[in-house]
Amino acid sequence: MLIFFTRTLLVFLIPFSIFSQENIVSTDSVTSKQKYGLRIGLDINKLVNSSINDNYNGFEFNADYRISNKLYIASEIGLTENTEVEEYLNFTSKGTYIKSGIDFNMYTNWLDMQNMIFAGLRIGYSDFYQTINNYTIYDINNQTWGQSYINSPIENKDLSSLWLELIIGVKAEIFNNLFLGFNLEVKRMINSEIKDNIQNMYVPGFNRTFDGSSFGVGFGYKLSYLLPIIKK
Amino acid sequence: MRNHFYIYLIITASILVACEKDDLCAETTPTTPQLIISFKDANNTDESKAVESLAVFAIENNDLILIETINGINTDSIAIPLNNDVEISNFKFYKNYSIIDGVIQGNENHIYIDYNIVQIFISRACGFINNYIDLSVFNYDPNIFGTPAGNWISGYEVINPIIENENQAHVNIFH
Repeated sequence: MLIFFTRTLLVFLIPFSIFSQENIVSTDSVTSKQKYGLRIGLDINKLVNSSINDNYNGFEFNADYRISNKLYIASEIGLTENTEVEEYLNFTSKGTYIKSGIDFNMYTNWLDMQNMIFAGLRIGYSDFYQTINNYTIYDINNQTWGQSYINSPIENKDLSSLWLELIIGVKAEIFNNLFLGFNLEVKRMINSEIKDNIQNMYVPGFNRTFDGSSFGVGFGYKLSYLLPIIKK
Repeated sequence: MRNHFYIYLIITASILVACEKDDLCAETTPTTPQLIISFKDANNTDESKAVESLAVFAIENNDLILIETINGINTDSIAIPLNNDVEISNFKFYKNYSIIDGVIQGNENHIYIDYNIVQIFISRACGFINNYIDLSVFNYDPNIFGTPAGNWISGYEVINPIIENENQAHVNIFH
């Protein structure tokens, strides 16, 4: 985990060093028009993952709306069914989630370009169920009686979780009004309702949880299309 | 300048692909507890009394399975695992145990242990352990089960009917 965070941090330092020289160049005074509008899209990583990974099914729609030069209202809504096979158990989480908040563009564009390096904040909520499909009782003294494997599922319905999410990412206009973006998410659980004292091991939208920690991570590859409403 | 975005995307993407999870059940995690038995003197129930050359076999489908750690030892306390598949465990306790020409020698005592299983969730990596409640311990009754036995155990006392750790004895056996 530490390595992961260090790498993530490093990646975010790279663009700032690349772009830091550009301020010198962009001192001309050409006026340009900026597009404002509703941008809608979907997460391509989740689509690809659904098609190649038997244990995962999910999709996510996203939308943002520009309210000022640097500020966007943004939201994601998604559905996930995820199965994980661990050493002593196998479980499936299934549910929907919604994330809402803002994106702040930290990148000063040239002329009429629409690219973004942004930081965002979201509040996320998921309604889901978690089923432990089968499990083996953890017992290091099982040489005598053998392992006890239990194949009757434990199903916990009507679970919910609420979390805060910090997002950092980029969006690049690859064709006119078509954007490709990548973002990293660091999440912190505010409240996660559990049943039968069984930890919520995976929460749709939040992704996997870690023992003894309220933090989570995620990422997205987003393809989106801007419906321009006004230019100014 | 657009190229910067693509370079950035590729670098970040390749790094994320390289991460993987590392979930292993740590050795220090509390496991399913064993039943702790203390052997006491039948004539002076406060005094510990060691059993000479004790061996314990679990009985499963009429097969005897030797518990490796209790194989002809002199001891006044033992830990034995309970069966996690059913809520009953049968054991044969041998005193003065030895094997001569492949035949078990010694004094045998068939013990019947009844309990209820409670599953406790531990973690993603370790899954569930079992705890046991409503513990009771009997001599296997030949009147019910039709097998005579020359018992060397005179009585049982359940000190703690809830088995959730191995910190102290759950059962006293008098002999």
